[in-house]
Amino acid sequence: MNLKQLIIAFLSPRYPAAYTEAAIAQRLNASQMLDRRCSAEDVADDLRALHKLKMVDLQIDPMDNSAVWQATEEGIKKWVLEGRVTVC
Amino acid sequence: MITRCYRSKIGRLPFAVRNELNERIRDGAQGAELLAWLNGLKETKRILREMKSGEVNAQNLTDWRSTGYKDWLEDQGEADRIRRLAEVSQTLAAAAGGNVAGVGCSIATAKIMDALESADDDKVSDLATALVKLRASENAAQKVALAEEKNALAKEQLSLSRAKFERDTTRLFIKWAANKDALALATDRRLGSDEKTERLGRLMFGDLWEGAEDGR
Repeated sequence: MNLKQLIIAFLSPRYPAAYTEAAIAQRLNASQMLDRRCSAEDVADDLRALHKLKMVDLQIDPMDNSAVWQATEEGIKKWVLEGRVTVC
Repeated sequence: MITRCYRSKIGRLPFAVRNELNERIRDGAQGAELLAWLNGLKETKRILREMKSGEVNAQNLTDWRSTGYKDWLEDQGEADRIRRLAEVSQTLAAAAGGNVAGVGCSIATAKIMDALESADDDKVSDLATALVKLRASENAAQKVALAEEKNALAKEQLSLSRAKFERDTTRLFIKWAANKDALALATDRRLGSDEKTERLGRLMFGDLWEGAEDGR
């Protein structure tokens, strides 16, 4: 699975929880489902691409202006159709 | 979820095909039906050609049931567990006063998820039970409040009906006090109270009075 699929596999089952890019990267690396380590920047790039496809939603935490991301209905549909692979 | 690598014929098929196969097995499809479908797919034919291998057979399917399908079922259970944790986390975040649709609640849900995912299942189960009880007691309290509200409304309606009745009766009295026949009946000392009521009723209400019951 590629990074985009894994991001969806992490965010969808946790909806409506919203995570920072760093938190997502850390959890993906811990899962060892990628054949390489990913950085927060790698995750941010793919999140932006997924955002264009309306698979994820960007929100700004008013407390510290950090960006947090959550799955959208579209993203969750894709996740279900692709077999609900889940990043634990 | 653990990354798995399958070397079997079925294991080398694309993820989407394996996933559909697993779903069909779960839904009770029989071996012959599964094999006909699987071997008829372009992707299967292409991969088997690349592997220089024959069609997927009954033994391959049996092996898959005890490996890939078994793993898939476990993964489905894990996804369900995480979904349940997300629901519990969202309930907790909302119970703390968060707006469910707000960004604050989504962030709080993520933080609670982190804590719950690292907790053991028994503790999470206890927490979920406590939440269910809390929700049940909230519902019961809401029902009581609703019943009280209905009761107050009924009392108010009764009070309004009574006020309307009094006003209508007073108007009727003023109207009929000016009527000579009615006045004569009302002041006739030869008639008893019941007789006066009966005659005045007929005078004032005509045919409508006929069907009226005693105790009017």
